[in-house]
Amino acid sequence: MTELVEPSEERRAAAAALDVLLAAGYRETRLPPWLDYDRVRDGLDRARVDSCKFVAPDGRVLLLLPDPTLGVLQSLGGTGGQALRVCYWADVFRVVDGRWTRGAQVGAELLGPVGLDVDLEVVDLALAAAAAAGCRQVRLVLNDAGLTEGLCGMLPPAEAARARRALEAGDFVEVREAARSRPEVAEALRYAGPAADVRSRLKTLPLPAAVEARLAHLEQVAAAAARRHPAAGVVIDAGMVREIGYYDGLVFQVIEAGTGRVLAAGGRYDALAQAADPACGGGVGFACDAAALAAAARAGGAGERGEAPWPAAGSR
Amino acid sequence: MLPKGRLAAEAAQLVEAAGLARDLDPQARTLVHEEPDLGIRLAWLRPEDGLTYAERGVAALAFVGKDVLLERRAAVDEVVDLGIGRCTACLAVPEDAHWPPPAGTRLRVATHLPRLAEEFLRRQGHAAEIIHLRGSVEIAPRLGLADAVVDLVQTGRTLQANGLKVAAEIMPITCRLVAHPGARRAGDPRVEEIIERLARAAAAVPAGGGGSR
Repeated sequence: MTELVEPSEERRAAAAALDVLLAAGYRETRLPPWLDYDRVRDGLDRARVDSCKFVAPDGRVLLLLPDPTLGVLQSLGGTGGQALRVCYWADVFRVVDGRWTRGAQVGAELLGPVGLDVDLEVVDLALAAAAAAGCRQVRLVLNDAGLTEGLCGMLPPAEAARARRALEAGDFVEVREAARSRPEVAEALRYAGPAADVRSRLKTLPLPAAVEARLAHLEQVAAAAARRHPAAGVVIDAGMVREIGYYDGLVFQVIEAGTGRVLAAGGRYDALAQAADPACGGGVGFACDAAALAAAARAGGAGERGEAPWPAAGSR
Repeated sequence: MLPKGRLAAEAAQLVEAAGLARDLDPQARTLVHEEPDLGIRLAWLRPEDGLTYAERGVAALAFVGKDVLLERRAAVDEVVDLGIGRCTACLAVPEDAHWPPPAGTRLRVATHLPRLAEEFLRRQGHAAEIIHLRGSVEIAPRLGLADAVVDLVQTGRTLQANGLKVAAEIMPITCRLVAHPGARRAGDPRVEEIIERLARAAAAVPAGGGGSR
């Protein structure tokens, strides 16, 4: 959503978010203004980001920084097998609807360790950064690439492929058509709600062990986030697929309650991190959109008019 | 967001059948209808504009034709096939024209569905110039603007009246319930309830349905 916010508001929101990351011990790193296309092509393709390309005098194809995570991976070189906690405040350039756009992002990447505690640390930081920027009414939306893939994998191969394509397009009608033989799978992919409701709807599905493990991981993240941020509603959405990109585990968004505006988005990208540095166990991170933070903070964190656009549940 | 225009009457019937509103009047000058008991607000808008409201998160849900969704590719979730406004996107040519055209022919195709037309013709291997019109595309061949049209067809009578015949059916089109992704994820039980009620009401809509286009 395009927002008209003052640059000073955007800078204030970004600075507040960055302060949270610095206070948590993340080291600020300066990201390169451009990336070498040949080095980031794979990640860029998976991220499905249209980038602003140009040819340098030496013939290399360069991109104005389209994705901060790719910038971090290129600029760090290697982790040396150690845990690395870095944060940044960078301008990101993308092509949106045929036009070049520039937006400021603040984010963090945790490279090396893998596990529940690591995922929780990053989700916690994303919620804390949004709160510090002044966004009061937020929701945390969780998914796991393995959960979605596992649910699709319960369909015959041709139906699974069709369902995946439909999910990419956000077309749950087509998902239902594709999954005619297993309507409960289509329903599990469509429904987004609290962890307990998601579990309840999945109870008729015999989940493969690997999928069950992914769901259990999400439930643990959801429970911990709810404990640490009681004001933030936590939702699991197995159909949140367009946002997966290069993530191969946990995927999450912090959205503004009411408008659904995305304030922060991130996830786990172990394969991408290992491709950049074989000594690295994995990576997880997130980025906040400074303009979205500022717009949400201006509205009191609850939509552009200071309230949810549809009547609040309590007004029923 | 409910659609004004040709879908309005069917949409009103469906919403009432779902128990979400009573006495809906698509012709009312007040375009906003409140249902305080259910805590929902309905508005009548052109489907394209309803999609904009949903895309920007101002509306949780909207009724939008599949044709509009294909053209706009908006970042919304399609959650229910409402089964109303049923028609077929077709390629039509003059009654005396041969289809497919000889290899190498470059067609001029008039349509208000340029993306759909372009993709269909590319898949079929036809070179074509797409001419974007806002409406009444069926007169374009007769007036010499185009060799063929891509249009929505219900009964085919409008095509016939303009000397055209269906050369190829591209895809069936119906009205869809779309949700802003944030609304679907907002955890508001009313959104889920509205989706489920409309899905049940839509399942009871008989296939076919009737316009005269």
